[in-house]
Amino acid sequence: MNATFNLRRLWWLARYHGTGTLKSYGIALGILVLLMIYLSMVGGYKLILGFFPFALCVAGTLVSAGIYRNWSDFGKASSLLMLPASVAEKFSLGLLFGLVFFIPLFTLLYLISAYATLNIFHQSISMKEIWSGPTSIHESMAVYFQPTLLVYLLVQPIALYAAARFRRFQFQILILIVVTLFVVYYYAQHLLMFNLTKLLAFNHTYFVLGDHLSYFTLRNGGSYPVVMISPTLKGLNTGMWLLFATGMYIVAFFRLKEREI
Amino acid sequence: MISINHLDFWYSRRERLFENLSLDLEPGHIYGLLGKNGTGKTTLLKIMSGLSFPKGGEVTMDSWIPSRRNPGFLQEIFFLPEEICLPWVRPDSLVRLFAPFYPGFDATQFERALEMLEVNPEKRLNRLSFGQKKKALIAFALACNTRFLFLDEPTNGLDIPSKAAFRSLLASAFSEERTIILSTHQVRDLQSLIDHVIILSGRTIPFNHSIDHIAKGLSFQRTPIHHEADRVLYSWKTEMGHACILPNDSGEPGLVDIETFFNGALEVPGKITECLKLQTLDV
Repeated sequence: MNATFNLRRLWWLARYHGTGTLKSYGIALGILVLLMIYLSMVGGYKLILGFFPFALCVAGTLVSAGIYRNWSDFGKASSLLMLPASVAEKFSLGLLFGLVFFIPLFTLLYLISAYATLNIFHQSISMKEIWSGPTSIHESMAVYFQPTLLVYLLVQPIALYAAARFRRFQFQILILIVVTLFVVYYYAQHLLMFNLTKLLAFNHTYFVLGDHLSYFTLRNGGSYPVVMISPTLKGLNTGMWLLFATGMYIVAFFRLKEREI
Repeated sequence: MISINHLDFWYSRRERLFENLSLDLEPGHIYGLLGKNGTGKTTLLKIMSGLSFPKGGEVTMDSWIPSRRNPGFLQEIFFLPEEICLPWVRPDSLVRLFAPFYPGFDATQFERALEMLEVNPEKRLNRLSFGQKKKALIAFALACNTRFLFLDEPTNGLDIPSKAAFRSLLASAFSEERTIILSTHQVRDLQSLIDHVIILSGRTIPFNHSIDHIAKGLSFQRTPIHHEADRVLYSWKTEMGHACILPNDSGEPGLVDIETFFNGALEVPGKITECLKLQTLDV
C-alpha cells in the first residue's frame, strides 16, 4: 500500500476528481458542440479542420491546468496534497484525464460533431471523408492529427508547470509562455529559411512538420509551395518534439513534487 | 512521536517566522497550540503535515519526514484547515470517495458523529452552511482514526450545541496512540480537552507545559477587586472581575484558566517561567 505507484489509489483519485469536475466537463463539451455548429454554418469543412488543432490544444490545456490549479488554492490543495497517495499518482491524474481520456474522447466527439453539422448544413459527407479530407490529402484531419498531438504534448506540460509554479494568473502566464515560444520558434524558422534560400519566406502550414511543409513566399505574387518531407527527417523532427515534451513533463513533475502551500 | 529540531522557516527572508524552534510531542496527548495572529500556528501545522517545507532544521513524525509526502505517512495524518473546500457531494459520498484512502476509517463512527453534530447526510455539501460543512469534515476527520490529527480553529463557525458535541466526540475519539493538536483562539471552547499548552511567540515556543505542571505551579483566581497585589504575577480585567495568576504555594493542582495563562505568559513571561521552574525544582 505504501508503494510509490499503486493503480488502485490512482483509480480512487480519478473517481474523486471525476466526481468534482463532471459538470464542468459537460459544460465544456456543450460549448464545443455549439462552436462546431457555428463553424459548420459559417465556413464548412475547411474552417472545422482549421479549428481542430486549436480546439484540442486549448481544451486539453484547460482540462490539464484545471487539475493542477487545485494544487495552488489552499483549501483545495490541502485536501488534495494530504490525500494518502504518492506525488507520482497525483501527477498521473493529469496525464490520465489530459491525455488518455481527453484525446480519444475529444477527437471522437469532434468527428461526430463535424459529421453531423456538415451533413445538416452543407453537403452529404461520410465519416471517412471527414478524416481523410474530401478534396486534398494535404488538408485532412488525418494529416493534422499527429502535428496537433505533438503541439499538445508540449503545451500540456507547460500548462502543468505554470499551474504548479504560479499561485495566481496561471492561465494568463501559460498563454504568455506559449505565445512567446510560438513567436520565437516561428521567427527562428523564418531566419533559417531566409539564410538557406534567400527567400523572404514563412512556414505556412504549421509550425510542426507533418509529412509535408508548405511555406509562404512573396515571390511570384505570394505563393504557397509545398515540399514533401522525407520519413527520416519527419522521424527526427517528431523525436525532437517528443524529447522536449518528455523533458517538460519531468520538470512539471518535480515542480509539483516540491509544491508548497 | 513528533520531533522538531532547530526549525527555521520564513515566507520572506527579511521576516523569519521560526528560528531555531525545537519541540517534541508525545502520543496520548491533546495539545493546545496557542499564539497571537501571525505567529505561525497554521504554518507550524502545515510544516508538520508536509504542506510546507522547513528552510532549516528537521521535522520527523515517528520515522516519517513530512515533506516527502509518503502515502504511508499521509494515511496516518489528517489536517483539518480553517479554510475548507469540499467536492459537491453528499456527506455519505465522502465515505465512498475518501474513506478508501484511510485504512483506519470507521463508517459507523462517521455516521454517529454526523448524527451528534446534526449534519443532514442527504444534503449536498455545497448547499450546506460553512458551519455544517465544517461539522461534516470534523466528523470525517475523527472517523479516519489517524495517529496524528491536526485541527486548525475547529470550533470556528460551530453553534453552541455543536461545540459541546465536538468536545464529546473528540474526547471519545482520543486514544493513547493518537497525537491531537488543536490550534485555536477560542480556548474557552476547548479548555476541558487540552492537556498540554504550547504557546508560539517571537519565532519560537517560549511555553510548552502540561496542564498538570501549570496547575501545580500556578493558581488561577477570579476576584471582584484587585487584591494581594504583591503576590499576583499577572491580572487582567474581565467582564466578571479580575482574573489573576498567583504562585501555587500549596502545590495542590487547581483548575487552569488557559486564557489567563496565555495572556500572562505573553505579558509577564519572566515571572511565569520563574514560577513554573521553581515548581519543577520542588518536584
